[in-house]
Amino acid sequence: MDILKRNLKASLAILASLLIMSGTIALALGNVAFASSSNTVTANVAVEGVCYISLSPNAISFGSLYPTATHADNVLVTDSDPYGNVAANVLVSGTDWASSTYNFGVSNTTWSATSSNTFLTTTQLTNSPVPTGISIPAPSPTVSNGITSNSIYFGLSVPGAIPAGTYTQRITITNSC
Amino acid sequence: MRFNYIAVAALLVLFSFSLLFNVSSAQLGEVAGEPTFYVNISGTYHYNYTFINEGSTPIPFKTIMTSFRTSAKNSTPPVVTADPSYGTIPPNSQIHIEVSVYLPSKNNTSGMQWQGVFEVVDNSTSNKVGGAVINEGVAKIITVVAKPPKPNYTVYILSAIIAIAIVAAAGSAVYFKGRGKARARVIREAEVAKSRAAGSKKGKATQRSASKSKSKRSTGKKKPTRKKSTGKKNVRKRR
Repeated sequence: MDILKRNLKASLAILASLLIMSGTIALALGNVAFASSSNTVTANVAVEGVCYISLSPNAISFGSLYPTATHADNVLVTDSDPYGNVAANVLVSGTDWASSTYNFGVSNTTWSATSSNTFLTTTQLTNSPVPTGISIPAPSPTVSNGITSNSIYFGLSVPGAIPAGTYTQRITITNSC
Repeated sequence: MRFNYIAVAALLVLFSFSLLFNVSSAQLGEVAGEPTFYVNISGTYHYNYTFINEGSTPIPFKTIMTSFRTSAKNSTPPVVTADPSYGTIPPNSQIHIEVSVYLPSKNNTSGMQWQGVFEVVDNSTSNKVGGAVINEGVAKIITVVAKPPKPNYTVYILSAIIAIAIVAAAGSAVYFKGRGKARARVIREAEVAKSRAAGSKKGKATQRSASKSKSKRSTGKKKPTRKKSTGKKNVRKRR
């Protein structure tokens, strides 16, 4: 009788532990199933402001000029921002005009935001970069090609009595944003 | 019908050429922002600028740093350097250029301001003989504001170490001096105690001898008396 009772107790204990184990497993599986069904990933990105520069043309020829002659500010350079998302301000600077034998000053070149036929409304080019006040607007995604641009015009005044020759200057146009 | 085909083909060719032009051209750009650098007098400040090549061809570049100007007279302008100062930006990638600003102390006071331009210029434009060559680039207008000099912690730490060393040396000197005195006192006391102990032993011995003589006297034997010193002897000795 005692043996029977002991066996019954043992079997009941085994059954209870089996039930508890199966419940735990079911709960765990349920949790896994629940987590996998409702898990979400939050993605974020910080888009930085950028501006670009693309000039056209990359060289200016003022042609053949005589001493004291002026070439009015009507040589156009287009400054474009093809991929940017913020407005850019245009700065300009240049080097002295140089030939193999003689140099003349950077200030003989002038720049202007508008085309003109007179040197009165223009600004002399300098060695150090200066803000021109010309701005390239921020390209907009609503615009078809998303490119914004603006223009800068250059002119030249040749000093008197300089040796004949081929003179070269380097102009630097930079966008700042 | 044939004309339509030709027109479509021409348009396709034009489109592909425009695509090719857009893709192959180098596009130099920069991340927006022109922060003001607050630099300690006699201190250095570092900042990383990001420059981008959005095109499919590499862009050889050089950096140009203009002199920094201020309205304050006789001030010493900051020394601004860029690293790397030249190089090549690979296609469709970006580079960081570290700008370092050192602000000398000579004639500079807190609150002074300087402004200068830092340019990264496309260096690929070949030299042209006759006329003007136009270089394109991107620029940053840098403003430097002087801050009071940072306290020199090294000097403070060194002076603190020296002060601690002096205090420790003085403390140990006082301690060892006191210890020496105490030791001397202990030795002296020990000697005194020794001498006292010796004295007491002598006394006991005399007491013992006295008691012995007493006992002898009681037995009838005479105790040898000490000779009284004569004045003559003393005089002789003195001579």
